[in-house]
Amino acid sequence: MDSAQGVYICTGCGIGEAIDVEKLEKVASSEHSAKVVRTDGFLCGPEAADRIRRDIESEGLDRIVVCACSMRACTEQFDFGKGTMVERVNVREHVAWTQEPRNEDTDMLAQDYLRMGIVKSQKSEPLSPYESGQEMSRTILVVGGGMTGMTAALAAARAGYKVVLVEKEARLGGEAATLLKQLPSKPPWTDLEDPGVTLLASRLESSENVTIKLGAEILKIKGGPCLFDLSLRTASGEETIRIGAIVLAVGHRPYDPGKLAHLGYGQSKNVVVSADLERMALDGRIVRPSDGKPARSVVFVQCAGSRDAGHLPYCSAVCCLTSLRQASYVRSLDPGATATILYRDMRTLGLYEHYYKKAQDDDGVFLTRCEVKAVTPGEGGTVTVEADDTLLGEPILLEADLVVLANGIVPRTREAEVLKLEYRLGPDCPEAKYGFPDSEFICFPYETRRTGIYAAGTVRQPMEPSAARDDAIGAALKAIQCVEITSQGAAVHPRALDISVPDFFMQRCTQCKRCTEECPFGALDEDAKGTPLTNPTRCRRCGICMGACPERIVSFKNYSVDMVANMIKACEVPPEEDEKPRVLGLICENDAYPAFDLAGASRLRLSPFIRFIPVRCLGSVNIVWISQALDKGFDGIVLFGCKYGDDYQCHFIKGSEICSTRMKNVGEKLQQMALESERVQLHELAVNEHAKLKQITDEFMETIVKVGPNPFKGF
Amino acid sequence: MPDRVMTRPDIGFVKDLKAAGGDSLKKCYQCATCSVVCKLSPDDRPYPRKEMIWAQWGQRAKLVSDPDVWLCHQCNDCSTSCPRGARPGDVMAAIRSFAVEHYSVPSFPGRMVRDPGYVLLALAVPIVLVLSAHYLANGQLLFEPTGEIHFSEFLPHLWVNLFFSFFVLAAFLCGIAGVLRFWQDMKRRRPGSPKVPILNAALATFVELALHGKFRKCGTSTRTWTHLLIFYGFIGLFIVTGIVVIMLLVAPGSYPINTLGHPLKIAGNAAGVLLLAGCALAMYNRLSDPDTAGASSYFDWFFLLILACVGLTGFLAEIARFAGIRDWAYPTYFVHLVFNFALLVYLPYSKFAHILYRFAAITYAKHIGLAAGDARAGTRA
Repeated sequence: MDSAQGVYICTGCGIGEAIDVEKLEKVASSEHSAKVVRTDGFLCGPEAADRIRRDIESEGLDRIVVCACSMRACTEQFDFGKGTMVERVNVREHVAWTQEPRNEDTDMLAQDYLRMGIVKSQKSEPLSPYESGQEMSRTILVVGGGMTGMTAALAAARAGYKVVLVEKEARLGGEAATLLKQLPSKPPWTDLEDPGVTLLASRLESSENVTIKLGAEILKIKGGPCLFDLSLRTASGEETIRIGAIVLAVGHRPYDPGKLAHLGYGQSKNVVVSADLERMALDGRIVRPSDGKPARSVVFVQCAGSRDAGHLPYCSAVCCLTSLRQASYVRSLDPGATATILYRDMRTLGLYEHYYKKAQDDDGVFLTRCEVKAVTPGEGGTVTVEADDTLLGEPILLEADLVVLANGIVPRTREAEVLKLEYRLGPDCPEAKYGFPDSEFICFPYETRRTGIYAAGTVRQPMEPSAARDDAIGAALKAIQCVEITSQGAAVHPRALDISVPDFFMQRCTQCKRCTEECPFGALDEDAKGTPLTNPTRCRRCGICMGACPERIVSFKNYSVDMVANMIKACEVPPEEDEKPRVLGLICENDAYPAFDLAGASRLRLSPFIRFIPVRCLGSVNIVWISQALDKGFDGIVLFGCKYGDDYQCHFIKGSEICSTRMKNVGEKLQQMALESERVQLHELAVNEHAKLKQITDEFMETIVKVGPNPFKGF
Repeated sequence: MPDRVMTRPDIGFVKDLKAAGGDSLKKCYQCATCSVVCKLSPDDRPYPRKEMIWAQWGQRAKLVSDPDVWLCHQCNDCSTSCPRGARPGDVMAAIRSFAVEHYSVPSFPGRMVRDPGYVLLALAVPIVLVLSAHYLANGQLLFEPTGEIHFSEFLPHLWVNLFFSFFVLAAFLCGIAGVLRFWQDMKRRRPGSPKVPILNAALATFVELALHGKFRKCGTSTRTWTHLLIFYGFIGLFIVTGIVVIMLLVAPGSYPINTLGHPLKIAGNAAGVLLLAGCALAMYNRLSDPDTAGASSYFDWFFLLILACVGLTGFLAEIARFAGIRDWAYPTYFVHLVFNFALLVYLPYSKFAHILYRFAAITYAKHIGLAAGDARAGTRA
């Protein structure tokens, strides 16, 4: 290998006081014969940086190992430009701040970390951004011409991007076009407004950047970010358009009232749903459908289908506001009419609390929390509503001319294929909890599990109009971020600007399809035989394919199975009689690693016997590392990843979950080898759980002491 | 389906309550802060939260017969703590005023006294009554006094006393009739097995009201003192007047009308000072701090001003008489009589009626063991 390595050791921040730096220097110069080895008390300072730059020039260094603080700190100070690969060795948080100073074990730990860093640096290859060799489009496709879609389209167009807006219907406006009035969009948040479809549509139509396709049907979408090929059929024929990124804003459908017979739907014509009342209000007359007489007492039944395990388990978020809005129709069209709203919890999100106050402050609007027990046809065309557990302190019986069921909402993607993606893993975005095509919503709204496709509005999650507007703009910005970064050949998110790309050594592929099945983002397609076909612009660089591959043919230039295997090998494992156990820690860079840094900042004392290696995602852990660590004489392996399950926190959706499955298999393997399965443990750790990190590692070390040394040690 | 009574939201009643000072009632969103901050509200079926939703739904029948609205002494902690500005204290006051009208016998005076549209009529009634008493006694309306000032020249004592006694008694009986209707409704809508005999409950209520025990627990000391001043000022005046009336009836001349130093005169003047001071304080509180004092409706002012005018004109007439200012003394006395008349005749219809309804409600609560406030007395200091 023709490389020139420089190792720089910092003694600031307490490192010098805790660790014998001379021994570290020896590891670099004697064991690994680095070309330059220097120690500085203030390595992140400008003088030290100048020194490193001069060394790079004069000694021709192409690899720098910075043995100092966490890779999450001082990133700018240790960036020496594209030609120089920098490897960070964290002897501050992971050693000096969490270990006993001036201790033999502490020094051994620091030295192992440096060895691993040097090896990793040696194994790294220079990176270059992905180039597709094709036209990289920056056009934003917006699917859905409702208020969310139109807002997203306008936002992207105003930011200077070409936009193609595709609407299935022959007109723009979506649901908003069917409304008499819309909820307020501005302070004081009390006054209903014109739905605003016409204004927004005319702005779009007059925008040079926007192409509107009405009555359009998506035939298929293939490719990946910046390389999507959209096939479309409109009245004027079929066409194919190259697209950069997609905003999915197809909205929702009302929940099927046919399933609400228990609330009287279908038993009386005078039991209707929200959309029916809206239509009547548009006509200017709210009447009983049975006989056309004015409906003078209107009862709204909330949560019709929503928050009901047998129907929609979630809160549809808009129905309370819809009924409050419609109550005002009832009242303004006939001042003698009454509007009664029977709710389970009045939920008016965000600033719409102001609208709730306003709507409530009406003599003829009657509200109570309750459980609606029965809605039955009454005498003379009336409908009787029976409710228990009311705020009035007793069950109530109401006689209504009209009962309006506030039926919840269902994402439109549930009813039909919308995007028709030509992806190995299916034609639409995968559904998260409750069937919405969302991603890890706490940290990354809009991001679906398909890179370059951003969901906004009620298709993403139930939300009210002002939230949908914000959503539209947010998704448009994500789409812009996507086309900008992807066209530079880098990853969009969450490893934003990462230019590494997985290489597949296809000659050795056995077409086992594990990588194509496990990629959470559907980045890999397949040919007829099952050989993976890569789509680098869809890739998020998590390495789950690398962890999946039994043939170990997937690697990044700066992260590979071989590289980590060599790092494991580089550690020194003392013989059994020294009574210094060794544990390999594989730790997710996203949440567990920062938690570890926090443990350092909190000066928690951790075991000196664990060697932690950061991984891009636990999903990238290849089980060969486990067997190599055991071969090497490690007594146990502990893995830290993000929480998984329904409320997962994994940045790559299911990496930690996949890893936990793999580790279960490892456990069985261990037992076959007469090894204790407790030697390999996977733990979930959130970013703020540094105290738990200490607890888990302490307990794990106790277990290792209990089960005794690895019998393969020293062989 | 069980036989349930249909619940009918009533817009008209909502409007009534809003007009009577409860204009914020629709703002309530049933968080129950009011019932939690209330120092008197019991743990079981606490007020004023339930009254708020009944009011929002226009549940007239429930509210007028609700003893709880009378257990409230209106410290307005609920109003000042309400996160929505629904001012439950004001709503409770509006409900009380509505209940007074609802139960009034006969019904018209009840409406007349609550409705500002009838203010002239409400003033004309006592004026006409006093003038007609004067006419009946003197045989003419014209009155040209000469010589020493003797108010009996305007209206002989016997006339005043008999005439007044008749109307006061009539008013009191009407008031009792109204309260009996209220009692029947309470029994029907808030039934409970008797825990304490009615007489014992009434006695306990009497002691409680005399000592202002609940009042003290409920509110700020200023409000308690204000009410105590008016309460004992009025009772003092009522007793002194009663004794004098009896003395004048039984043995005319036994009461030395012109002696300022007579113990009864001293007692009467002292009570008048208490009353007037109380009224002044009450008005000051209402005007200076309406948030804490609560909204002041026409119903409130009508009663308070009459009461204050009774005290004020009483003193003015007395001063004018002793100072010998004849041109002032008789007109002031006339006005004094008018206000006295208004105060006593309107007793069952004005806010004054609270002495009857509150007494009845507290007695009923003690009778069936609602024990408002008592339940928490031990645990909450």
